[in-house]
Amino acid sequence: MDSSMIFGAVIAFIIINILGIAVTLAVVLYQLNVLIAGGSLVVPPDTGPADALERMVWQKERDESLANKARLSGAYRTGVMVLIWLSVLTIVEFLASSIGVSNIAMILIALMKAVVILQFFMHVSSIWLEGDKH
Amino acid sequence: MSTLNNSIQEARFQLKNNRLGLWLFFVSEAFLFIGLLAARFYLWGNTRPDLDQNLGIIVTVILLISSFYMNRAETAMVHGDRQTFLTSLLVTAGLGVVFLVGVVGFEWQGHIRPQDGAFGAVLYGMTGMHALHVLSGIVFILIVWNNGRNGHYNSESHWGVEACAIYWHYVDLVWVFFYPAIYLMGTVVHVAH
Repeated sequence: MDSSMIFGAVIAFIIINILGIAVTLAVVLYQLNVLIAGGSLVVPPDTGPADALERMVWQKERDESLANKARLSGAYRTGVMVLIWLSVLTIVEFLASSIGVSNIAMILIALMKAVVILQFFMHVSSIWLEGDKH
Repeated sequence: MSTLNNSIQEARFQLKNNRLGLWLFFVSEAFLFIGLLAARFYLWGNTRPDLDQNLGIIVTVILLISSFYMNRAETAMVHGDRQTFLTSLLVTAGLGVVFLVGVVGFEWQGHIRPQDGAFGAVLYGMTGMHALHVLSGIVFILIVWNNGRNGHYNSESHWGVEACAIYWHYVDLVWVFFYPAIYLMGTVVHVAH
């Protein structure tokens, strides 16, 4: 087996491992998200009032509550996705350093991480917005 | 009615100004951290001291996870989920403490001392200044947690939470550049005492 084959096998091994870690992390964090945030949307049983008017109000409140839960769950999932991206980039950065990638490439990876943090965690695009648009 | 409208307009204007002020503060802080990075590249060049790589990646991942929990706390407050807000803030502060222990309790107890020339000076300067910001961030989080516990914030009005979250993410952002600069870039040099 020549050195190029060994190099190829090592690179394939690293890529498969990164993908494996990313998928495992995604599954674990998603489950954690559901556990911590109560992210699963369970529709409550239909136990509303019999009166038509009261029932309309009750249904409206229930729909609003479900919509709010869905929004919250979506926002939590975005946070999980951002964490996965940052973790993958950190692993790539660490591996890139161990195979002697140039400093420019390392700075580019750091810049990618910075953009993700600025946009999704620090809401940089909403500095000029009035009110709470986060 | 117009008084109410004026009050709403004033509150929105105030929030916009608060955000602008916070970001101006970050710009001024950026000069400090860019200065430290410039010192690192000028004095170390394409070399770096022999540091514990495992410790470096562990503290980095801890800080990333703490940022995730801070984002969760802010999101929870925006949507009125007070319990998740309080829990997530405590987890964030706890992870911040673990990060501090990793840097100050382990990295600073390694073989490199502050008096070891450019390597010691830059390493302790960068990690020390960052650790100071982490420490102030933890204090900030605990103040916000206490205020939140006493019902000072709600889904409509929570500037304190937003400012605290953005500050914590800023501390994480700084480490995004410090980590590769200290631990990953350049060839390893064994520091002589």
